[in-house]
Amino acid sequence: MLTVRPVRTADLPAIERLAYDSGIGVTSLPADRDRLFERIQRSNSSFEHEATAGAGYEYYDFVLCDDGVVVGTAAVAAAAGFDEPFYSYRNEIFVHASRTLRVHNRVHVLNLCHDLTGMVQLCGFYVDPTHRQLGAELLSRARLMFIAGQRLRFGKRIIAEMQGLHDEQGQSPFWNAIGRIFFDMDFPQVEQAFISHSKSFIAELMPNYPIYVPLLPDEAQDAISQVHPDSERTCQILMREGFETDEYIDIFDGGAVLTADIDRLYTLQHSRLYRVEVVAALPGDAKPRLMANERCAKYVATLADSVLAADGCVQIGTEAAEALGVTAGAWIRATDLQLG
Amino acid sequence: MMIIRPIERNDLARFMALAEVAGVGMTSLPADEEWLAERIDRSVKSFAGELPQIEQGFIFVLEDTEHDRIAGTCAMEAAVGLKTPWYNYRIGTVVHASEELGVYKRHDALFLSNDHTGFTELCSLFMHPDYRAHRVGSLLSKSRLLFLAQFPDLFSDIVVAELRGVSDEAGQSPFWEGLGRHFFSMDFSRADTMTGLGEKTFVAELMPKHPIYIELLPEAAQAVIREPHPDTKPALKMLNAEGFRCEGYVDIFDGGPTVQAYAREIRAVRESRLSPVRVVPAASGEGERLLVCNTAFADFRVIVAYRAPGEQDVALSAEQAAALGVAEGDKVRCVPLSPTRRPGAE
Repeated sequence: MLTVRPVRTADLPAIERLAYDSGIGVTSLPADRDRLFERIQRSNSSFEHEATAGAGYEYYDFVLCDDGVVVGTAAVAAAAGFDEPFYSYRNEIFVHASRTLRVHNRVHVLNLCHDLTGMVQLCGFYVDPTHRQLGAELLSRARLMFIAGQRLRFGKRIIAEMQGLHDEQGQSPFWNAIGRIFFDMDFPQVEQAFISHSKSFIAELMPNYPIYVPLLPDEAQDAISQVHPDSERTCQILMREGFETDEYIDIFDGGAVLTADIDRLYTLQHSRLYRVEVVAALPGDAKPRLMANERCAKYVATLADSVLAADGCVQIGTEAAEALGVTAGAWIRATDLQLG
Repeated sequence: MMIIRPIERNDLARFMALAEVAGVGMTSLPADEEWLAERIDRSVKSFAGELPQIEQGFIFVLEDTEHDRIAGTCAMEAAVGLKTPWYNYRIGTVVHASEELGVYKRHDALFLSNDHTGFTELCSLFMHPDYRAHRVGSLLSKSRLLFLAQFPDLFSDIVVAELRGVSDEAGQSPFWEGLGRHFFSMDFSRADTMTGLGEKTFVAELMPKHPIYIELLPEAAQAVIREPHPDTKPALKMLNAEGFRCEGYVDIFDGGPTVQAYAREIRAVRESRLSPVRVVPAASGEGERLLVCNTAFADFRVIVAYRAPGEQDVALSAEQAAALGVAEGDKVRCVPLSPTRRPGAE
């Protein structure tokens, strides 16, 4: 059975293994034991303490378990850039028009910005390749179910950075066209610097002036707002939720940064609270649904068959009830699978 | 005899013939009769003292009196950019460094500037190909410097000259291809023609407003920044010898260098002297080659004469004196045509 729950200190070795597997490009999941340990501690503390939107420090880290074995991890940061500057490129259009010449040019420009500072951020997403389908959807959307249940802990807007295009050697065409010139390092090197140094080096080295996109080589232009094939599924899940691309991109690899209004996300709009009925055997019309208890530190989400009864109850099996830690009469949140 | 004089209204047909020889790349001399007539009109009025300084433009022609031909032309704008904006790229340095990471990067960027607003410009130098072998190009070009020396109050403290940048035989400019084309949606020759005709507002409307990092441009474009067109190299060398330097300003279309100098420090200005005329039966063809001009404004004339070593005055034949409109004892301004190499000088 697939479940999602808050990370625990004991998960550290499993998380570390996932971090190594995730490889390059997932800068929010560094393969660095001390950093990971620190994050887990921060996550534990975030789940255990009261918080309201705008506080910012909170970082909620979740794990996906298959019959108790950790096979994925994903997190929600209450405020991107809370303790360090959060950079992105804003896609802008300048219009260069001349009436006398009858020329009307729309010029695409990248402008370094901190616009996304303070927004809720989905990050650190990685699932074992064996669980790319259902597991990925459960893990990704369990975070949104959590936000729905703990709405006051989160602000209005939410973002997710997608891994951009790079090849197996870690060469990113976008990085090679811009970043390499300003940082004097390879993409893998800057990933490392990003993990192990304060972000002030970005301010020191990044170009201050806007980048005119038409001046970039074609392969760099083509990488703008693209998503690495490994992250397509993740991206698809969020796009179905109502996330949008194109406004912001990652400053390193040009990958898409997805943005959305939290309250307009599919999970927030369509998940409902139901009263639990535990049944020994589910009827034949039972459907798999995402379900989550409404707790915080003891939050659990799972994917299980259920039946929505006419009286506002949800019928679930004993195994699901056990996984969610609920008994008959408790309230749980449920929603349909999007991709399946 | 070769005489440099202000252009006149009845020079139009011969001026047009010269412009037709000039062709693409000579933006300031388009073969457009109406436009040329206006330019002549403006020059005539400038020499007549009928225009305010911001509109003054002086055109000179080199006349071959023997063959009754115009061999070349050059011009000076008293002050550019005061009616419509005057644009250059200034190459500026931007340093990014991170002590923590041990990275120090120096970047050059192109900053769109109007820094030369109000400066005097040397422009529109063109020699008919038939005369290029005669070394009269530098005579023509430098005649303007004598005019500047004689009437400094008409001009600004700093004088600039834009030199044509690199383009191939098909009229393609690598700098334009790498930069301007993306913003203008037109080919180089058209843009170049339009600026030549003085339609520069479109530049403001279409050019990128933010600095351009040179390293983000294609290599072919980077390679020609500050580079003169091969045909322009002699002109650049001559200007350099007079003290003009490229201070990091380049043309926004072809990336060619703009050179500049303080008027009073230009060699031909600094070293020019007023000397009395001595009329002699036959002019010498030996000695130091001098550029000699009269001190008249509307009837300004320049010729080349020779001076024997040690002489203080200027010996002119009757024909030369007549060409300059001077008589025995009148003062003329003169300067050695070429810088003299002093021992120890570079």
